[in-house]
Amino acid sequence: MRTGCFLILFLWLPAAVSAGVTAHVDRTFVELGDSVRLTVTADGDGQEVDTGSIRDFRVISRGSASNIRIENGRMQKSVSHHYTLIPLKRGNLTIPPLPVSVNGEVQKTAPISISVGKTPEKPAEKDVFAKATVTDEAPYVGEQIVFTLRLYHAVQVSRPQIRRLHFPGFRTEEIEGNRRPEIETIHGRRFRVVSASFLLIPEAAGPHTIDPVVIDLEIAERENRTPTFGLDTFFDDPFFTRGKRTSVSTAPISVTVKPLPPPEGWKPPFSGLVGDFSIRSEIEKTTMKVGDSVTRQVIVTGRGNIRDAPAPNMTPPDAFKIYEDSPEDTIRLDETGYAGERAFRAALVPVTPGSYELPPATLTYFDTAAERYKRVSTRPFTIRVLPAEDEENRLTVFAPEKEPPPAQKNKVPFTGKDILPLKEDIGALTDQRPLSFPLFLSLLLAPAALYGVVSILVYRRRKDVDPATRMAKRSRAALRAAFSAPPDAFPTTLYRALVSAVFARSKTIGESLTYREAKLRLIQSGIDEETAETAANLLERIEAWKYAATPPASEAERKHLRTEVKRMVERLLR
Amino acid sequence: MKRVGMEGLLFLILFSRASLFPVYAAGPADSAALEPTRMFLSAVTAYRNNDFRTAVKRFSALVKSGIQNGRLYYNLGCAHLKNGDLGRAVLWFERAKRLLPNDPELIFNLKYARSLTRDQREDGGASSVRRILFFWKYHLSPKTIRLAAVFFSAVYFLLLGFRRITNRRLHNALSHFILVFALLFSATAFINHYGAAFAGEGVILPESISVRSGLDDKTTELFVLHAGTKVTVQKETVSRETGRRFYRVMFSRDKIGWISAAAVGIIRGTGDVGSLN
Repeated sequence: MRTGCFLILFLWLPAAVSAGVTAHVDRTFVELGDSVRLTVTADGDGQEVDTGSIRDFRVISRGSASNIRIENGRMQKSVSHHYTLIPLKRGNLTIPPLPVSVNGEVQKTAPISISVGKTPEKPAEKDVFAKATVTDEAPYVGEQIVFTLRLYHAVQVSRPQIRRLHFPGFRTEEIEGNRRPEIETIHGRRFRVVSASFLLIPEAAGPHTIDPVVIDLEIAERENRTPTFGLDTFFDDPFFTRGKRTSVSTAPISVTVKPLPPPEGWKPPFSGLVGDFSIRSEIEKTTMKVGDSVTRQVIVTGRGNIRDAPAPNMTPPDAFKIYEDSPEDTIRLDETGYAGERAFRAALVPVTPGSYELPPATLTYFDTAAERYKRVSTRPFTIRVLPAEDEENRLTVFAPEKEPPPAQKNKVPFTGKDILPLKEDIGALTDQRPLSFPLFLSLLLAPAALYGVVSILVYRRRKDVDPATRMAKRSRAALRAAFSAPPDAFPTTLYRALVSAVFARSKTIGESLTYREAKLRLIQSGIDEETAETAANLLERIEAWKYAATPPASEAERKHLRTEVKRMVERLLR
Repeated sequence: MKRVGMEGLLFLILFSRASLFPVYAAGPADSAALEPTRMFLSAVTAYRNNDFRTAVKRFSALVKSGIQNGRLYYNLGCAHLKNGDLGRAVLWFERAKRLLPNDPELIFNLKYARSLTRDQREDGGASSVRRILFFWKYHLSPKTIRLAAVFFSAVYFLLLGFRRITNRRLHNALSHFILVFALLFSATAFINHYGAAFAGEGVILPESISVRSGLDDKTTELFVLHAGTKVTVQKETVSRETGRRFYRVMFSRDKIGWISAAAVGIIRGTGDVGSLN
């Protein structure tokens, strides 16, 4: 026996892992030559399983695995022992009760029958099957019954889909119950059971048939594999196995719905409730003053179509004004259907003092267990209404009158024809002639003209700011000044004129330049080299004249030089 | 002689100077200014006393004095209507509507007066579309439209000028928005001014009048129009034979003909009949 490894398993594994010993197989039908997996599970430590009594099978131990679970705050340990059984002959073979020794105490498992070499007849011999049941196959109209669909599978299944689920003649509602799968052992074989429940309320009397429910699913194909210490379930996951698509179906269910007996003569009339109900009434206080408000509650409790419970008659005596509230439900849907209570509240305001009896609230329903109508009622209340403290301040309470029906709307016709009166104010004499057209045109165009002026001014100002423009202006001014400059200032003015022209050409501002710089600037600004050279030479001459100890004073020379500079300036400023 | 001449000359000078400063007759200095008010109040009193003929006369006098006022035109329209002159009532109501396009009393009275006309209006579709598309033309007085055009134009160029001075981008969504309004109102003002000169609207004044194919009574009668009916006056001409003025009027697309100018009151004018020019 291999030593099992210590694992903690999830609780999908058996509810059958409970106190004591259990034995189960993976199937109860097998072909000769095939094998059956036997698992013996027992709680506690120190276990020994005696398989010596198994005669019809060859027994191969596959080891054991320990499980630990927490139950009611206590740690419980169980050990599962795995065996492979190979049948030795055909027929109905039996795995006899196996003694299991646990802490010295011997317990025995239940026997298990295995069919070897035959087609499965019983459901337990099938790997997967489905069953459908109803809680009552002869309900009354309006009585709630529960339809339960169970899918049993002893092998791994996946992708189940219900193909048909149809309840003609019933009001249907799914019951969202505990969806945890259960474990059920049938003829020694353990099945996982997944179930779904539906509340059915028959709407009409007569025979009804609930058609078979068909479930399509995929069955994992079994592979011969050595069990691996409790990890079988892991490797039995569809992810690791191939699947065979198949369908299972339930048997049809016949339901004969009985009609309710005629509810004649009942007062109050039959409320429509079918099931088991009771009614009670509560009131906050039984002594009050005129104008005080008190809330009366009538609560209908029971199991059945409680949601259809109508408001009981709570009409108080005429000395009270009643203001009814919306009912409040505390209703649940469980495995047996709807149950709970519905509370009807109304505020009562007494308007005159006195002693009054609030009549009981009654309810007539059909008791399905007794199969007859029953009337239940609350107890009556006696209310004492005292006068208000201050008679003059007695509260006059008005019940809201019913809203009158909306008036029919008709088109408003003229009943007379006349004009509206004169305009008699003196404002009628104020001249309202529009702007004359010439004035309008003037006012319309004035802003445009103003804008034009502004634009021009801005343009000119910007132009003045432009370095090239400034230097050009300075050059021309210096040239003009050269005409009337005294001899000693003459070269300076010519220098200024030529240098300003060079700066204007290069779009910069400056005061002085060497002739080399001047040539370079002119060439960079696009002037041809020859002209630049000429301008540089001219500048050099002017500088020489400017800084000479005795500059030439001849008028002709000055005129000639001025003419040269003028031409050059014009050339540069072009 | 010389003295007399000198004294005479002095007298003449004094007299002439005196004559340059005429002396008013005795009475309040502002009595002339009160005349329209007195006239107006007496017209209102006559109307209240159901003397509608007198009310018409006095309101008309005020209009002829040069006052252009929508309320005055409305009052004149009311007086005409009460006096039994539907054509002129509609004419003056229409004139008032140009100056008071949204006045509820005017709209009511005009609608009432139109309900009394005998001729059913045709070709309402086109003018309805025009009224929807150019709704401001029919809901604002000509003065308001001109002022709006001036306003938006001023705002637009002010904005441009400001941006020009601050060296910012000239146009953006706001300037486009204002420009659109300026152009719209300016265009409408121009249309109002020039459009009326080419195709005025008029109102038929007499109880009934024949619209003919030519410029005299011998030509074929094409159709008959009645008092208060609105027509479009397309053209004015003068008959060579009689010297009378005629209008070519259009009642609907297929109803055009000639009519004596005296039978049509031009809405754009202020006279009793008015002129296209």
